[in-house]
Amino acid sequence: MAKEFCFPFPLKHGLHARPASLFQETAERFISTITWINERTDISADAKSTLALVATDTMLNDPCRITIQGVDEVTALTMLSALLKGDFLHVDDDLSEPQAGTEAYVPRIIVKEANAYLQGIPISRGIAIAPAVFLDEEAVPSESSFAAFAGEENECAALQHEIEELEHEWIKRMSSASGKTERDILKVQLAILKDKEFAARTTEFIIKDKISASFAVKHTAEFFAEALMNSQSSYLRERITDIRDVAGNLSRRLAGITKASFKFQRTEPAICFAETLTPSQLLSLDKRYVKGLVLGRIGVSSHTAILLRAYGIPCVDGIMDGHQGIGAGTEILIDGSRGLVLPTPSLAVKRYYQLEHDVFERLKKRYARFANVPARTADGRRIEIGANIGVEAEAEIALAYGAEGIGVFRTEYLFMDREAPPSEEEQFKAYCRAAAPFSGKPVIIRLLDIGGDKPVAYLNLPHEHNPFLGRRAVRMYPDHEELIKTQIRAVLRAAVHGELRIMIPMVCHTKELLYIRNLISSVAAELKEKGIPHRDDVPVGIMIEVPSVAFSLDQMEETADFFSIGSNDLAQYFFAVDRGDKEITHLANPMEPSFLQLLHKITIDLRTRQKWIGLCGEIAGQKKFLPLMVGLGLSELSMSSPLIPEIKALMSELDSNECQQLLNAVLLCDDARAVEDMLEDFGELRSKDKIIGIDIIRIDSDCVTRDEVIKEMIGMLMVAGRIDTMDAVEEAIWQREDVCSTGVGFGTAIPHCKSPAVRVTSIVFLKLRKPIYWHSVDEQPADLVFMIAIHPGILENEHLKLIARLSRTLMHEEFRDSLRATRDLQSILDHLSSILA
Amino acid sequence: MKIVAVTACPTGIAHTYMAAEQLERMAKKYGCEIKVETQGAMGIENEISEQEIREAQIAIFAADIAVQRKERFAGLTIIEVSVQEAIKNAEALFKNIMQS
Repeated sequence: MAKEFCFPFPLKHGLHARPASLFQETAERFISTITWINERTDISADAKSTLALVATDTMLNDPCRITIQGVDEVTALTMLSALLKGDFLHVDDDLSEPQAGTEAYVPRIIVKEANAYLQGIPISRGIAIAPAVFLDEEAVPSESSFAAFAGEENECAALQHEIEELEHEWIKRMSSASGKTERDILKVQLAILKDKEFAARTTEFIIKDKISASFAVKHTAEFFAEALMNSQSSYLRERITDIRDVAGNLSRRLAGITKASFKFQRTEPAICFAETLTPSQLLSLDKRYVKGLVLGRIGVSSHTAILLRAYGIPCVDGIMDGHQGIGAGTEILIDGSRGLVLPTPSLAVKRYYQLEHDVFERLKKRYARFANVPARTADGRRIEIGANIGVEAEAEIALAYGAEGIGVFRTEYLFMDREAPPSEEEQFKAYCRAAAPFSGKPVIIRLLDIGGDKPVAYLNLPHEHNPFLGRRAVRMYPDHEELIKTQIRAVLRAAVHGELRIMIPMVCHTKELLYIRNLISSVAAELKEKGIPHRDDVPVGIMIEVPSVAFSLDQMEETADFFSIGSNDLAQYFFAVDRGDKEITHLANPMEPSFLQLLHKITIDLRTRQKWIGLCGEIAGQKKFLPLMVGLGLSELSMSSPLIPEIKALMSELDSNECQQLLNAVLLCDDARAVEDMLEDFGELRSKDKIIGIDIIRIDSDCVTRDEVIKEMIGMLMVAGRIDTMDAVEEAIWQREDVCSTGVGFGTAIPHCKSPAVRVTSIVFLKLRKPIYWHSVDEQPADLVFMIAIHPGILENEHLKLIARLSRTLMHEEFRDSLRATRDLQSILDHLSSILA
Repeated sequence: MKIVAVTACPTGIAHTYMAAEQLERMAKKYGCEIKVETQGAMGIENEISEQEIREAQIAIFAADIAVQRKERFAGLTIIEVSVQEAIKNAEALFKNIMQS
């Protein structure tokens, strides 16, 4: 007697791969035939096939019926109904909205123009427009490249064999997968691969159509894709990518093509879409033609992502269903800063991005004058600015941005995403290349920092409960001594060609430093014996990441030639807060006076001993921290290259004595909040008399819409260094325009806002060649536009008074007439100054 | 004629003062005595005194938000306009006042 039970489907995202595989796993345990029937779609499925279950297109609240028939039907009934009332309900708990929390600003114009867009994770900034090209489609074997049919038996055996091989490979990958997301994706893909429907359907194609297994797999994928395509759930439709991915993988294996070996050929500009892209695939692409990349899941800190940033190729990640709705050849605009991908952008949208592009070009020009000069404060205090790099190709780019050396070359990237460690020769070349642009300037090679959050499969590192406190960096060297000796050998040899230095990560005891010193000596002796050119006097320094080091500098100082504070890890260990856990990272705010006290102690101790002391964490490149960094009296700050020009520019405005006094004052603060307030006031008082300036006046603008004028004026504020980010100011300005137009009549408009993103309260003036429509009260077009951007803070009232005065003056016809008549920037500035004086 | 007026706009950064300026300019042109209180981002400025209210015949509210302490003006002829209106048509406003 068959058993059955009915229920409304309980999950919001429908019966997608994850709950389906959970159900299938349980069903699999029974001998009985178990069928899932969706009474709305009238599709029934063998519950022992995940794919078949998914294909029932079951949505929230669909009436479903399970029938069970067989010897163990009673137990199966109990187990399955218990599952549906228990674990099954929680399978989607962590399926939060995609990329929540990373949501970037979507420019108004895109919404206003109703331009379709995809939002992903920003990987590498920049703007580009070019036709879409789908790399994965090129990588999937074309019909002609499928192996010829080798007979039913051979093909079926090959299919079975490759499924098993792939399964083993993925199971292995799953155990070494770093994140939960990657593991989950692998789990879903494994379920598809092992699904009996998948194999059965493919076998059927082989036998029926007499085609090769690799071709049959493709047919199978299309069969299931079609079933899912009609699904009402976007989540289910997205699973098509998983099925195609699995099929593509299997199909390539069967045809004898490895994806890693596939080289993409390009001869025309393109925005390339791909699920993933390995560093070697990226290097094989002709970068003249790759204008941008839209990827599925490479991750922000992957090797590929670092390379893309180094090459300055705009990239958006996390676009899993890039294919859907976009055909090859569609014009695509990619906005790498905000993580946006726009198919067929409208003219107004393109114009917006053109204006934005111009702002970046002007910023580049503004910073260019700092590129080739050493960084100094206004009173002449020298602080070296180094670059943090992950791949050697970044060195040249760092130099172009104005780096005065490499503060840290994170060599672990040379060791990641590959099957075996790099050879001595490969490393030698990499270090030489990193040093080449910086003749006579320090290039700090940090020895391998593996372990913790950076696992490397071929090293077979032990699984640890608390990897950040485990056998990370210098602590794993004794177990992999040859690996480290090879690295040291490469550095000593490359040191002949540049000012290389060796830096040891995660040191907490002097004996670790001595251990490396000994290794260096023995490597140098070997090289000498063999007559290989090298240097044996390469300076050796340590990273200060472990808080205890701050209290053993007396001992360290005798054996280390230099020091560099790794502020990210130092804060993590100092506050005992996992820096990867977003829920608690606020507890490790480097603005906390306790942490600043620690930095202060370290720098004072080392400065009195005349030691070179750098800092290479995130705070080195953060504008708001700069006065404190200067106040600490560091020898060097090292940061990611694109941040260098602005930091150099800002530093040139700071007075080192004022910064030192500021530091002394913040050390007495109660908490991070008080420190931030004090920094805020410090910055504001320095910009007291700067409400107008010749660089924020323009008299011949060709803008033709309100959108363009606003974008243009915000761009002027950005280039003048008066705002931190354009997006926040833009949003605030538009929010005000939404209330009612700021077109006040008489041909004038006064868009305005108050925002913390405004660094210096400013009045921008723009005179248009042709008046434009501004929804003004008198319906007349405007040609005189004043944009008022207010910084909330201690000087706010003082500034508001000036703005009130300007507003009143604007009501006078003679004032407006004189602005219209004046063709000279300086005269306009003088005129405005006299009103605001 | 003696007039008291209050100007107030939502952000209180610019329109409030523009309207105040327009009212003052027109009052001068039409030979009226006026006191304009601004209720802007800096709070109440140029506050109207009880005596000024007693001496005035007309109160103008040029406001897009609620006028603060409105009850002070009870007993006066009140003219309410939007801030935009005061900026754009201050002249027409005064012509009306002078005719009536």
